[in-house]
Formats: sequence, C-alpha cells, structure tokens
Amino acid sequence: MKLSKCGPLIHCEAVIKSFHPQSSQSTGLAALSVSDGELVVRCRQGDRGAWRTLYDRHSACVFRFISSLGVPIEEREDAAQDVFMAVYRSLGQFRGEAQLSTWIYRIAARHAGRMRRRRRMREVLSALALRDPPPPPLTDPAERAAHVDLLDRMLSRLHPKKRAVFVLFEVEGLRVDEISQVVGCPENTVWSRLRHARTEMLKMARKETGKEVGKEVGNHVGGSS
Amino acid sequence: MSRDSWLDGHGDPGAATLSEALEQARLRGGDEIARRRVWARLADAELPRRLSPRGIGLLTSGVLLAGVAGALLVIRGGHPPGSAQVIATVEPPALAAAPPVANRPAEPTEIGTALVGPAIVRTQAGERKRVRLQGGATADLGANATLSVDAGHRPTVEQGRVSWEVAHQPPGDQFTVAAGRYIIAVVGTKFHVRVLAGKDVSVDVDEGVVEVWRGSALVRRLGAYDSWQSGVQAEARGPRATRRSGDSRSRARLRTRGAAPVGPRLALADVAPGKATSSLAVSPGLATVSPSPGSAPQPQLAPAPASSPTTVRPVDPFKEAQAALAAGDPARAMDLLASLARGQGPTAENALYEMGRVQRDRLLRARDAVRTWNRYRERFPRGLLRAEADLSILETLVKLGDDEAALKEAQAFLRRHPGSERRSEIARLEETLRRASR
Repeated sequence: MKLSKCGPLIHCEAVIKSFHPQSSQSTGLAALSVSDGELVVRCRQGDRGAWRTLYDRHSACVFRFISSLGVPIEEREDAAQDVFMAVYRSLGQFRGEAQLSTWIYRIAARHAGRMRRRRRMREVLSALALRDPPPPPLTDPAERAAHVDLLDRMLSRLHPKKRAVFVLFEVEGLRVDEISQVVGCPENTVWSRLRHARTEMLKMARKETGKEVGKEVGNHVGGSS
Repeated sequence: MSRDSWLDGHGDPGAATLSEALEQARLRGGDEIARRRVWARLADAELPRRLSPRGIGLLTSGVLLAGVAGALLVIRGGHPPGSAQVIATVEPPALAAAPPVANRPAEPTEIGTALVGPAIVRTQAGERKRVRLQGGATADLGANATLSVDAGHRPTVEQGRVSWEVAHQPPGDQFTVAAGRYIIAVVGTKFHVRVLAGKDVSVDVDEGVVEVWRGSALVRRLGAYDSWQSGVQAEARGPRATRRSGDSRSRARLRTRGAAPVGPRLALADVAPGKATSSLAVSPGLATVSPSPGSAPQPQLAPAPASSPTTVRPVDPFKEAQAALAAGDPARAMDLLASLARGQGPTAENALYEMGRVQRDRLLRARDAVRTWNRYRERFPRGLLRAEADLSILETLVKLGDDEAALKEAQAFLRRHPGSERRSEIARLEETLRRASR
C-alpha cells in the first residue's frame, strides 16, 4: 500500500496551486470539461483534486444560497464548511438521480434550516435570561450593494418555506421540479409557495420604496418558468 | 423572457427595486477570501473515509470475515498479558520456496487486512513482514522485529527495526508509535524506528529537517545527511551515494539503543511538565524529537492495556482553540494556536492568521494583531490567507486611525492583488485615505 501518494506535500501543493492562478494552469482537473458525475466518482476514489474542483464549482452557489436563506455572515463560513463536509460524507449515497447541484442545495437547505432553528432557540433563551438582544447581523463587505441588504431584509420576513422556494427559483434559477426535490414537496406546492412569496416580496418592496401596494402578481407566476 | 418577467409591467419603483435586488443577489457568491478560507479548513479537515454507511457495513462484514479467516492462522502462546494474539509468520508459497538472495532484502510478506488489536506480529531471522494498521499506516517489520498493537490499535515497536509509512494525519491528530521510552508522533511521513533494547536515541536524517528537543529546549537541528545520537556530539554525515529518489518528503530514521525496558505510552497532551516521555513529530519539512529530561525508564514489559488511562489519544488543537474561545478563554486559545502555528502547512497558516484575529477581536490588542499578521506574511508570502491577512492589516490600521500606514497597505494591496474582487472597495478606500493625507 503506497500511502505516499496522498501525502502532505502533494496535498499542500494542490491547495496552494489552486490559490495561485499562475501555477494552477497545469491542474487539468480544474477544467470545466469534467462532469459532476465524474467528479463524484473520483471523489469516492479519494481524489483530492476532484474534491477541490467540486468545491470550486459549487462553493459560490452554496455561499449565495445560505446567504439568501439568512445565515448571518459570521456563521457563513462554518455553515459552508459543514455543508461540504456533509456533501463529502454523503457522496457514497449520491445516486445521480438528481443533478449534483440539486443534491447539494438540499443539503445546504437542511443545514440552513437547522442553523435557523438554533439561532431562534438562542434568541428565545436570551430573551428568557433577560439578556441584551443579539447584535444586528454584520454586513458582508463584499455585498455592500444596497439592494442586496434590502433583499435580505425582505427575505427575512418571509416564512422559511416560502423563502427557500423563492430563493431557489428567483436567485438560484432552479426549475420547479428541482425545487420540489430540494424542499421535498410536490411541484404544485412549490408553485403555490412561489406565488405567495412573490406577492409578499413585491408588497414589501413597495413599502420599502414608499409606494402603495399595487395590483396582485398572482397571474404572472408562470411567467419566467 | 427574463427571469424577472413577473415584475414587468408593474411600472413602479418597488418592482424595479426588487428586480435590481434580485439581480444583485444572483451575482453574489460569497467573498472569494471566505471561500478560500473554508477550503483551507476543508483541506485540513479530517475528511471521513469515502464510504457510505452501506460501504461501511460491507467493510465491517469484510473485516469480520477476514478476522475469522485470520483466526485460522493464529498460533496462540508466548504472548504477554493482555490476551494479545501472536500472528504467526505467514510465508506465501513463493516466498517460502525462494530463500532471500544475499545482499538483497527479502520482499516483505504483506498481511492483507488492517491489523486489529490486540495483536503481536513477530518476524524471524531473514524475514520481513508488512502490516497495515488502522489510521492509514503501513509498518514494514525487519528481521527479528516485534510489533504489538493494543486494543485501541496503537502500535508499539517492542524490538527490532520497523519502517513506517503514515498517511497525512488531520490537523491536531498524530499517529503515534511507542518505542522504548519514547513516543514517536507523526503527521504523515516515512520513518524508521529501531529498538535494540535501549534508551539511547540516534537520529539519521535522509531528507528534510529534524529538530531534537529536550523538554522545551532545542538540542539540535539536523538537516539532510546529519546524524545525532544522545550523549554524543552531532556529526555531519557525508552525502550518500545512494540517495533515495522519488519521494521528496522528509525522512527521518530514529534508533534507540541501550537496555531500558519498554515504557508506558502517554498521551502527549496528558504528559505533565517534567514527566514527559518523548516525542518525534515529522512533517514534510520538519521533524522533532523530544527525549524526556532524565526521566527514568518505567518498568513495563508489555504494551499498555487498552483501558490504561495513559493511552495515546489524538487531539485537535484547532478545535480545542475554538472551544476555548467559545468558553471565553482567549489566552488558552492563543496558546493552542501558537503551538499549531509553529508547524508547517495550511494548518500553521490558519493558526497564525487566527492568532491575529483573536488578538484583535478578543484580546483587543490591535497592534499585536498587526504584528502577528505581518509575521504571517513573512512566513507565508504566498500563503493561502495572504490576501486575507493583507485586508485584515489594512482594516485594523484604519480602525487604529493610522491613516498613513493604511494608505501604504491599501496601495500595496492594489499592486499585489490586481484581480481581487475587493479591488474596487480598496481602491475607494485608498482614494479616501489619499485625500485625507493631503
């Protein structure tokens, strides 16, 4: 058994190479031509390069998704790490029936849900202990664009189920059948939640911009599908 | 049709704002540095074995079957207390038929499945054996060697020379081998342990750098081809004609000579000052040998039983540091991080960077934090967290009101990281600082 192949030098080299564009040109695995399915197979075989590529390919989505689901910035890195650890741990169970990204979204959604419940519990306990309320969440300096802040504020007022569907459809661009796999409900329910979420979001946006609530948007739901 | 077509036709600022917000949200993907940092942690993390629960079940069944098959080969008797089994010399027909050729070591017999403790493996004269152990290690037993493994799968070299290949260990975890009064802890490398029966230690370094420690004092730093023996002045060996090739990682050979019995194995974390046994930590560029300061050999002839409270237990200092921070003990966190930062690789980088964060955010020593990050930059000029360190320094200098230094940092950042997604933000800051400095 040759253990040296997965030794620290090779490992570190892969890590460092990936952070130095001038030296990462030679990493053929990073090429976009490798399919997700192939990456999964290679990861199962213990290929660290494939694991790195998989991370590169999906980490931005995970960060974006958990941000949109309300994971505060100070918990985002931990959350993303947990999601990818869960992904790695479960790669053996990935059967390829759904897209890899859909499967990762499902894991991320579950994890974000757990974190939300934990946060709520902390808030309740803080309130019971008559402690000061937790400080307002920090703003990601890379996301100081005003409208994103506004969107996050509005999303935080949506019910978590509607929020997940809305984010998956409107931000992540998933199809309704994929969303139904992620959130684990029938497609019609997805449509219903999406319609309600859109209506509420538009109402909130109008309030935020000082406008009166206008006409309903229910008739437009299928517009972008 | 655009994705936001459901917002078309409303013609009010609310819909327009929402449309724009969604557009911006689609573009965000997490800070590039945050993603790097997560990867650095993932790369360091102890990734689980690449098996599903179903696979684990199959493996367990396989191990059980192999255990049953192996039991047929086990010869009982002559083993020390602890009900350890002696695995008999297993000679495959080809090896048994062909005696070892002179001047060429015999190919080791490989025991296929990972050795499950408690067990003892012995080799006879002219025999070599290769065993796999839990934790991703392979041991090559030379002639007349004895290796025991306790119920916790912790190996002890009882006698003879055993060469090891150890897979890279997760941060904080150390694969440990007991030998005489010493404990050899490795993070992933190849090395050799020889126990003739002794207490004296000699170290031969083929590649890399080795540090010999006595207690907390550095005794000797050895480079490639250097040798050291306890009680003897270090001597430099001449370059070997037969340098091994194909493996650029450091290799250290450690031998113990003398007549001390096998001592107890202690968890490194559990060793009290002054009672430390010894340790050897080998990393890609650095290995450390720490013999105990005059500690008397403990009379123990058998490996420590599994239930011993002083068994080797791997710890994860990074997790401990996080726990210490969570428990409001930043000083302890700093100690743990400092010990990690003395190492090499991404773990050391992370630890050194985190030290700065603890100093700034928890200990409120912003100047010290800047000094720590500067140390990070000196040690890891192309480090994984280099950009993050640069930004942290910049941010801290701004908070400290040191505009002049901040301006220099901002300008250096723009030169150093032309492709950073923070570039526009830093450019704005630089502009502000420049105007303020006029």
